[in-house]
Amino acid sequence: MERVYSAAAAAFAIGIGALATAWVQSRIGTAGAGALSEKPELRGTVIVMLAIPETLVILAFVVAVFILTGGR
Amino acid sequence: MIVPMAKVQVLGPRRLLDDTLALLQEQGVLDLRTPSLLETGRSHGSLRSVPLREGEHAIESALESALESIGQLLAALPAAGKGAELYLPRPEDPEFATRMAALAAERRALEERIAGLKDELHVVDRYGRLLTALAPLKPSLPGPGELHSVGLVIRHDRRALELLESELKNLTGGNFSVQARPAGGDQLAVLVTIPRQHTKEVAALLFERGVEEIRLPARYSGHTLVDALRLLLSRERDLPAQVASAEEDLGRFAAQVAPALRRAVREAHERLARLRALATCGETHYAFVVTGWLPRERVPALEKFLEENSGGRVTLVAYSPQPGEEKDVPVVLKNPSLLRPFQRLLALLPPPTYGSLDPTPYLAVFFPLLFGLMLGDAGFGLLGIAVALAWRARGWGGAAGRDYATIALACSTSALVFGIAFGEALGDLGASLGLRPLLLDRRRAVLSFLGLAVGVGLLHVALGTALGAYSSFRRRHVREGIARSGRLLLLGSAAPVGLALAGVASRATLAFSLAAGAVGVLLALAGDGPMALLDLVLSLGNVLSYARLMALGLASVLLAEVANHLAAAVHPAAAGLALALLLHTVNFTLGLVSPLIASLRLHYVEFFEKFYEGGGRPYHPFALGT
Repeated sequence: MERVYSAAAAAFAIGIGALATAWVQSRIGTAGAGALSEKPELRGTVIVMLAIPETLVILAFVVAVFILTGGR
Repeated sequence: MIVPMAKVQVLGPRRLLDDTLALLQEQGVLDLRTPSLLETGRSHGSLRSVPLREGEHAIESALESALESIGQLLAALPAAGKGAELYLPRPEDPEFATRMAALAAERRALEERIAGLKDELHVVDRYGRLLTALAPLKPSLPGPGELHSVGLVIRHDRRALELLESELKNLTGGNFSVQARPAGGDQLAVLVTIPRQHTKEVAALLFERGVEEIRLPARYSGHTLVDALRLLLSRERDLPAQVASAEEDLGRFAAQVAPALRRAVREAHERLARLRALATCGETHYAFVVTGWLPRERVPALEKFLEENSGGRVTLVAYSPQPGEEKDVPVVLKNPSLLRPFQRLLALLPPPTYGSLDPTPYLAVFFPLLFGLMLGDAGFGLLGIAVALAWRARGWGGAAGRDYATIALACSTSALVFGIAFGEALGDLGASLGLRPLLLDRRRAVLSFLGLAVGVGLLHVALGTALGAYSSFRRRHVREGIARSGRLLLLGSAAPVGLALAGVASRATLAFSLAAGAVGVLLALAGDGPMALLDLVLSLGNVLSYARLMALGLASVLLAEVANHLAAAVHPAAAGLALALLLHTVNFTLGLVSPLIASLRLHYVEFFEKFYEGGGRPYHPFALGT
């Protein structure tokens, strides 16, 4: 039973992290596309902005790994 | 490195300004600037901006309209090989517009000739059988009147013909003739002859009833229908050759004219650039001054060139950039040939500010390293090396393609090396070929891999912070330098603290590292104030972000393993092999794209944030052909 709880917790950790990242990236992507149509020279900044929230899901993945391995 | 630049002022007699600008354009090294005295609007005696004179305004307009007419003619010309180049006057000469009008008219005539011949060919192609059927018929009328003949195509249906005859009888009062001959299939070729005064009514009737009328090209308008048909048939055999010959004439015309037009475009742009450059120059009653930036190493050559070509009447004065001028100095990056391709990876960002650090050497080391750590597969590495070598050998994409191939080669080599270190080749297939992990097994030692990824991140972020501290002290921003040094000390102490907590290092090391970390926090607070705490937390966040190296690496190896297991489970073996190939191709593509983006992101967001100062000005020298 404990394994089931662990797996569910890991799934929630990464699932919620992924949803949050997707939501933030969709907002940044929309705003970025608008900004790029006005100022194409901002593409570097927009890519960087778009990449920032990825850390959320990466950290969620790390948490999920810790949950599954028990930190060993 | 960022090439040292010099600000120069070129001074000489006013009457030599145009010639001097032409010489500077020929040398193509000076990035022009308006003299600062003119920009600030301070009192500057008799120095003023150089206005365009009346004649120069006229030249500017002539050049602009020349460029427009050349653009239209070039767009209308077909692609052609090289021919003997045509002579054209210079674009600013009044004669140029006349010559352009003549060339445009010549092109139009050639196009019209081709279009006319194609019309004839089209009629012959479309109505070939009908024309043959109609040709022997002789138009005639039962009553008086000038003859007018119309060729029609209708269905082979007696009732349709009777209906047509009845309608024509109503319109012409019976003064008409209808002759019909089968034209193959279910079609009937019909020659209708009517008095000329009924032409319009009959045309309206045919249009209303949807009857297809044979339309002849405009050049046959003087002939009767039957004569025109006979003439067309007699030309049927010659028409394709005539179309080809007319197209050849147009191709020859294009081959002669296009190179001359392109040369004229170049000349017009260069002349316009010189006229527009006048706005950046300053003048007094007797002298001029041209100001700009160029690489310091090019100053002696330019000075000598100007002196030789102006008989010593034009002189050059060079200055070093002054503090506060960094944003105005154009930036030129210069790196050894091995590192130069990595400058392409900076294209998404504004150039670094003059006087800051060029990140290319660090990018050249860490970009392939991070990529290899994520992909880490000997099979994919070898495949990547083969693709990159083929790319270079074929020369795809010109100079940029060659640079990208070099980057791909470095990344693939790194993936190969890490693949051997992790004992992976197409996932776990390497193990069955005798490949054993030398460093760690990514599939099992997940936490060790995470530690390695974060360790590399710590090293990378610490290097960025050290570069930032160096840059701050070099530019005498002492407080900023102290704050960055504090952050560096904290990052440096994080590794031994981690090792001590994991039981690898001693308690004394832990105590010493904690003390060093505390000093680091104090230094950061001293340099940046309370906001330093936020920066410290962000720095740790930057390091943790490198966990993506582990996440993407693990995903890559597990995808490869899934491909192998799926393939092994499928029967027959050939289908399994095909499936494995397909899945590994998908994994290879993903394995190229994801690490590429992640590696770039780690550099742009985590590493560059510590020292990179964007906002530099690109170097745009005043040159020929730009």
